[in-house]
Amino acid sequence: MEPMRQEADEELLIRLRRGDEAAFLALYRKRQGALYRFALQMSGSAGTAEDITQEVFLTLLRGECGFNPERGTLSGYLFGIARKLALRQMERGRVDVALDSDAEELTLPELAVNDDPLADLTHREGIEALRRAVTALPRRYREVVVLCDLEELDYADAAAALGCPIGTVRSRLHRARALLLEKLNKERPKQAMGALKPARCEI
Amino acid sequence: MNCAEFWNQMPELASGANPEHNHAAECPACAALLERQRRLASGLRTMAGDMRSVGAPPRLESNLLEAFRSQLAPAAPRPMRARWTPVFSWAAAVAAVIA
Repeated sequence: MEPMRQEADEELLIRLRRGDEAAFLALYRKRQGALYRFALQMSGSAGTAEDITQEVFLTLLRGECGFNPERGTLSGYLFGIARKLALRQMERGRVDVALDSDAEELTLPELAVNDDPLADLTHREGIEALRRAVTALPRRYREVVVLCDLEELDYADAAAALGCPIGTVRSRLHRARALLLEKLNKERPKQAMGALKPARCEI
Repeated sequence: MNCAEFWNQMPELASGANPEHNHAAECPACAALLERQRRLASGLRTMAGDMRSVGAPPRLESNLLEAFRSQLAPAAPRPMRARWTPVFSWAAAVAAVIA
């Protein structure tokens, strides 16, 4: 039996703009989860994430939808709208400050049995520590980790969403991952730090 | 390939998008860095998997569907009688004038 073909976002958009309710629902159900999670990671607030997700889809319904397939995929475009809305919320000072200050106060559980905090990433506590480390990243690094590592966008889609070149996405992702490793190390008890000192290259 | 070049490829190496280069076999420090990056990437994948079921609350779909219907859904077809009403009105008016 032939698997059911998943209709491309762009085809769904054309149909929904003709008034096809099934196409609208299909597009919403396909994309809402990732957009909501992105907004949640960026804002730290379920209510804000819901508002942002709603506004993204309302934009599609309005005449002002400026999606151009020559400039990227619909997915990248939708994440771009979500990001702008999240930034607007942050500029209002309601969300990001609280999120970052919360992150500073977080304390990690004692994990002294392992020398390497990354070994903990196979355990629930380790994943929780990683989640907090992602939340505590500066916004420009957090967004690229959420898009590329958590929502698995490719560099091109992430670049469209962030409004920057692909090379910038790549370098930010590189830096973001280094920052995550640093944060996980800092959270470790001092006696276990030796194992993750920056290794010196011999070649 | 030297260490700097190897490090520059780390995002793709860690995610498995690029095949591992021989440099890792020659340089224990870079091999250790790569291993840490891969474990981080694996942790991030687990975290993503944990969050996969998180989504907007169901009421949002209902709200948006309502907005869709009011903005983009095709208008319901007019009843046939409505289309003929003006014709009959004009005919009645003309008849009245002639009479």
